[in-house]
Amino acid sequence: MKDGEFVELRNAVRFPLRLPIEVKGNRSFEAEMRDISAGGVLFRVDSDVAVGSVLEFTIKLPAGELGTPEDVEVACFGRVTRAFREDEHNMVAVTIDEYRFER
Amino acid sequence: MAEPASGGSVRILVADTEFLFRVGITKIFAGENDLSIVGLAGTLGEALKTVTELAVDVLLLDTRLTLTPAATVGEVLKYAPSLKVVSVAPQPNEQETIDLLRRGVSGIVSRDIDPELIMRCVRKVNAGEIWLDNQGVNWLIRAYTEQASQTQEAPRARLSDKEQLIVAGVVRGLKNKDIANEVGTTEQVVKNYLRKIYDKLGIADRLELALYCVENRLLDTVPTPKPRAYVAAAGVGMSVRVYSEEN
Repeated sequence: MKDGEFVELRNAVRFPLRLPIEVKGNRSFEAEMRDISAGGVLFRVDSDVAVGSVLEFTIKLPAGELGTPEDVEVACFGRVTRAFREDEHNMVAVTIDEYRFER
Repeated sequence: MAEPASGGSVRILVADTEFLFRVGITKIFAGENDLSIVGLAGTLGEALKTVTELAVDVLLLDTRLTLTPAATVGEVLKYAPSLKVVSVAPQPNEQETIDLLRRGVSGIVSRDIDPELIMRCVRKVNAGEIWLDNQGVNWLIRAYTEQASQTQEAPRARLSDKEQLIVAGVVRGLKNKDIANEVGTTEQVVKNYLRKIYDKLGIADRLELALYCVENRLLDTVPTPKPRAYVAAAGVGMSVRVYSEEN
């Protein structure tokens, strides 16, 4: 146990950005982001995703909205910490354990 | 996720520095058919070992077991994401309450809580609710309000020209050293600027900064020090690809 290890959740501001998510791997399904912070992301999925699943995903920040010459990609690694139903949809909360700006 | 216990009772692990408290809680819950003590731990190590070896629904965690209770809760939930953690503190304070909630605690109680209330707390958090006393709720609302007001102030007006240049470097994925070269300063100066920027905008790190820039279009008019060829964005908004490696 690393008692001093700290993740971004401490002051995580949430951004209600709704973005499409595509799952690639053994199976694929559509998903939609509901909000995101440095600590985690919440999205709606059309399939079951098990709590504890380890995920690798890439966020593409569009140049037009970011104000940069090119799109910016952020590679994220995390775990599914919650899975619940909301308004007949499957919702999945993923904690972001690590992230890296891709260049 | 933990499988339901036979009979549907809530499986509780009590991790506390005091033997008498552990015994006392056991006696309180003994007469309840839906509450079952599955383990007692006197140290953090014992508690972690138990949550990884046994099916536990709710952990009653004495905050005195660790010097950093909030970080400990975060670590415990990494081992057992579906676990509900109730922190038991001698006298919960505001900052600790907010930190614990941010790290995923489901309930915060004081050590002198009424026996009936601790049982109700365990049942409620197991059902997915958050348990706080009135003081805790007030602190939470205040923290939420302060955070909301920080992000509402006109963001671009807060940053100087140099700060905006540094932000532009960060969201392009540049390291501090590279930003320093572009801006014409030292790496330490860039770090100092970033700390100031984070405080101004009420954010914590580079990812939040990038998301903040998207949401507020912070860099619409800021030129990069070395203009690069424009590449059309693919589609509208963001796209996320998720590579699932389910256990």
